[in-house]
Amino acid sequence: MAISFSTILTSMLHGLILGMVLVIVAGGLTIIFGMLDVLNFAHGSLYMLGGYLGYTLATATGNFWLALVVAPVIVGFIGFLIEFLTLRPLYGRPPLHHLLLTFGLSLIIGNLIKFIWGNDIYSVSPPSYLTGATRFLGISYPTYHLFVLFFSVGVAILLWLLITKTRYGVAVRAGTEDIEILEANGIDSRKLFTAVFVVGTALAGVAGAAIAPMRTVYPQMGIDIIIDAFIVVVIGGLGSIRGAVIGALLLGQAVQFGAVFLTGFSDAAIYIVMVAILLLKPSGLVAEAE
Amino acid sequence: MKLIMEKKYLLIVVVTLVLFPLGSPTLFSNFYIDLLTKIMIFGIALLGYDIIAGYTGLVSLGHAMFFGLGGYCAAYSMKFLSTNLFPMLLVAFLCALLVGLLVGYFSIQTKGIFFVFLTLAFAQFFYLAAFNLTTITGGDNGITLSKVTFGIPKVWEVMVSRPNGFYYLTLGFLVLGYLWCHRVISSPFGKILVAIRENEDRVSFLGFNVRLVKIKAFIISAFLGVTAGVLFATYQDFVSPGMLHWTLSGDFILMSVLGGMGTLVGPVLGGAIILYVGDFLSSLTENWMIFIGSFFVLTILFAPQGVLGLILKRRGKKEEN
Repeated sequence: MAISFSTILTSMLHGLILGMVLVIVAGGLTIIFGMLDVLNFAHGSLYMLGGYLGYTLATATGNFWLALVVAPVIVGFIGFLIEFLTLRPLYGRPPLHHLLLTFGLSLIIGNLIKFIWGNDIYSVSPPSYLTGATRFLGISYPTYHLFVLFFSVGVAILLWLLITKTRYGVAVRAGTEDIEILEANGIDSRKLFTAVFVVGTALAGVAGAAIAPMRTVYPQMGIDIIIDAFIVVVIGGLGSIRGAVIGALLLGQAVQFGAVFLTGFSDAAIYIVMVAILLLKPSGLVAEAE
Repeated sequence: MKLIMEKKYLLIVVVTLVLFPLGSPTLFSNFYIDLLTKIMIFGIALLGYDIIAGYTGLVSLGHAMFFGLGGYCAAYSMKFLSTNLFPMLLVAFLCALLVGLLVGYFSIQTKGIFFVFLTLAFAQFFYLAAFNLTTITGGDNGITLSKVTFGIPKVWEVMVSRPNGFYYLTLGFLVLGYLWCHRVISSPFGKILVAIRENEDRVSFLGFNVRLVKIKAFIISAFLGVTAGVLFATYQDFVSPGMLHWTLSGDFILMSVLGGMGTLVGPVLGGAIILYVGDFLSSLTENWMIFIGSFFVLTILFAPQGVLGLILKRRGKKEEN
């Protein structure tokens, strides 16, 4: 099988887009874990909720951009309710309890979505100027996919600026290291926890809404992303944002090249990457959180 | 708090289970015998899961691997060996030993969340193999089995009658499984398991080979997992990749936590609740997991020790008064 330059370029682009979407989803998971020690299993369901809300808002208002902004806000609000009502009473318990709790929440959210929207698959149409294909370097690539790439890079940069350049970011990074010192410096960690959880879940929502026109909205989309996102967080080193970014980009390429070279076994690629990394480095690529 | 239910209550449960089929079909339909059979099959897998997750504290998200492995072992030994249950179990045990050793060896290099995801990855390899190797496994269409037989091959063999014969067969395995697990956790080995859960380093300092103990516990749970898998495949005369999927492993966790981990009886009870309530609710709404999920969330919030833990705690308080 001769593999041409354009095949490789297309594959790499596919992988890069998948990787960037994973950066957003897993980035949300990572900041939540780094700060709250909560591995949020409901993250995939919230991503799915973002997709469904995006679909409904876009079709109801006819404005895709409005949907892209409002859907994550609603998801963030649900994130607030989850943190305030269910996670707060659980701080201080073993991290496994949080995983189990959010696992239960993911079942509730996933099935509520099925209850509201049914089992149908919905396609979301982006604005007309983002449809069609763009030609460059000898390949023709769907314009909307390129938009998702630039959009997720933009969100990632915003997140990076928020964490490195603002006072909130300083507090978050400090909280990841030592929450007690942070409290001793007069910062209300409870508020910070809530804020981080809301931002993290809103990231899942925005990823879901942004990817909806590319992949359609369907009842399995939460389950399809959550394991990938978890794998990114785990191989990244649980709580390390840098690790998560590397892990997400690596996984994106692994999935795409798995599809080219491991025909019929492409899904195994991500697990192969994870097993290899965890056996070589049992606490992930960048183990700075511990 | 007493972790193990007293013999008196267990005896009552077993006697009730033995007498239960007498009520059919006058009091209730055969459907309930089938449902109870399914509950007991899951119970066997959950007993094994409790050894590794509840007692040793190694929560795995890959227990479906053994359940499905048992299922496929049953399918292949039926195809190539015989329809008899015992060769099937023998093949399944050998596979459990092999896979348990291999996966156990690699997985226990990690702890906590990393262990959760490493076991998930290994289990997903099996799922993907079953799903994608369509020429061998039939892919998503699965494999249909013929009716299972019981007895000594070539000397005395009978077809297992449905539903009652299969019911009693499963009950027998459940009782045996419980007795074995009970023996394991009451032994010094079982005490080490609990000690590892509580503080691994101290066990290591005392000179025990923690890794070896963990692998042993993993293999014990694998044996029970494949037994349940063999029974489940022969019960529905069918295996499919669904028996290996991680969501089933998630269900095992759900059931164990709901019932109460580290009590042996608790997870079985949790499985019974979810399967029974699930069956009841699914006739009302397609999205019945909303209720199971809510119930589960409330359990984690207010009764992390599970339903059985709650009952035992209440009784403990009463006895104090």
